[in-house]
Amino acid sequence: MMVKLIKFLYLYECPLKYRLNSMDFPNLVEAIQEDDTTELNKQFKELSPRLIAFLQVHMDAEKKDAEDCAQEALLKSLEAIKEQNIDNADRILSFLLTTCRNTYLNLIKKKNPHRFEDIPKGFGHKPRQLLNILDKERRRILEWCMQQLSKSYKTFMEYWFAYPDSDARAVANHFDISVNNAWTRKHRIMKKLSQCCQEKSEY
Amino acid sequence: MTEETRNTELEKKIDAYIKGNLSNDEVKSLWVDLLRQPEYISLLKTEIDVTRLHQARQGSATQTDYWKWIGAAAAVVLLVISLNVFTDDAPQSIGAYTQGEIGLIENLSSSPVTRSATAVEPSDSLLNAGFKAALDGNTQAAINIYSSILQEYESNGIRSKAYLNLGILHYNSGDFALSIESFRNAIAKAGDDEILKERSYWYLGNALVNTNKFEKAREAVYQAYSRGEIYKPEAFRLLRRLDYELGNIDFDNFEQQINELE
Repeated sequence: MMVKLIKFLYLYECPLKYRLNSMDFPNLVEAIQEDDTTELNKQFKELSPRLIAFLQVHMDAEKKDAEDCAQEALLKSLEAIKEQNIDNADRILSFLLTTCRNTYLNLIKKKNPHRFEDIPKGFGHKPRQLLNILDKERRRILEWCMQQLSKSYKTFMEYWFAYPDSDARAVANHFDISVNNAWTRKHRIMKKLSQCCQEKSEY
Repeated sequence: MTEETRNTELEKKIDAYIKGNLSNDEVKSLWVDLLRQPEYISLLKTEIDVTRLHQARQGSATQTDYWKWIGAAAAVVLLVISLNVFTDDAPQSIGAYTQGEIGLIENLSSSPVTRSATAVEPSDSLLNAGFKAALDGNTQAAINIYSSILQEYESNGIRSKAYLNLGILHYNSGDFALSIESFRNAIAKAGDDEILKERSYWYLGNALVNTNKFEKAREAVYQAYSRGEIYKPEAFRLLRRLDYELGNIDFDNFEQQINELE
């Protein structure tokens, strides 16, 4: 009853910005602490594809490796979270990411024991997927989707990506729009492309 | 996600993440946010793919610019292959493991990516002016701009960037001695900028290989390898090749061994 009351007050009192940041896993801590298997399964089902995406994008893991490691990390984390009594959703998510990363690095180490250094220092600062070239099928779909954009969107995107280190104000000045507008335009383009690619494939 | 529920701060962080401008902790915090807002994971994936597509197109464009050389190069390659067939099974030349021309768009350092910033420092404007001159093919003008930064500014942050850029331009011009000096200065002035150090060490190592200073090259490449992940695969291969060159390892079949290790 008290928990429900707190949630009710929270939803009404918290600004939208903060609610958005914390609403996704409101029951995770509770489910872990109370060993609520049904709720945990539900939460893990939602988390799993996101952790797989993390491993694929940030660590450049193969899909199969990412799936295996995310699954293993979720199981490993559960016990550790309970043992260490972690009762904060942020820390749980952070713990899951670290466990995923370490599980994946251990897998890579097993597959390839002769590397100079098995574990890169730190968490990493850039998506490792950028080191790989885009596969032909994804490239074909993306190029098709880019062709469907309006001329003004195409021009905007070309400029944005041609000068990756330039200031948003430079982009805004070039197109005679406000800086906020530049960000909005970029967001809309990415959203259109993302939706298009998802429709065209299991992207 | 609607226009009203957009998280513009997260969008800016994603932009900085793709460009490698976040610290380890910031990256972790970004992914915690992304776990909560999976719609942004889709956008991140798309943005990475667009970036990769753009990089690939840049590569193709460069290749197209040099198509005239392809015929001549192919003839040389054929000649080398036929000579190799009749001589021995020595590994590829060490040059094949080094960086060719350094891509300017991705590698020249310009002003920091603070797209929401409200003012540009004069030194940042100079960095951007140098960047544009270099992209336009005005290498000498770009060198002059970066040199003027070194004359006018004392701050290590801006000087390290100017040195790095000078090193890149000299490297691409084949002036390896000058590029080595510039990369060393960039490292000396880099302070806490680990990314700049990592890049400078990698290019320094490559420049040193080009001047046949293999021991020094190995030290620099190892620094790049151990400091981060940007050049990990390339640095790994070059380190193994340098070890072979220096007699630290003695493979019967270098290519086969290196492929097995990777």
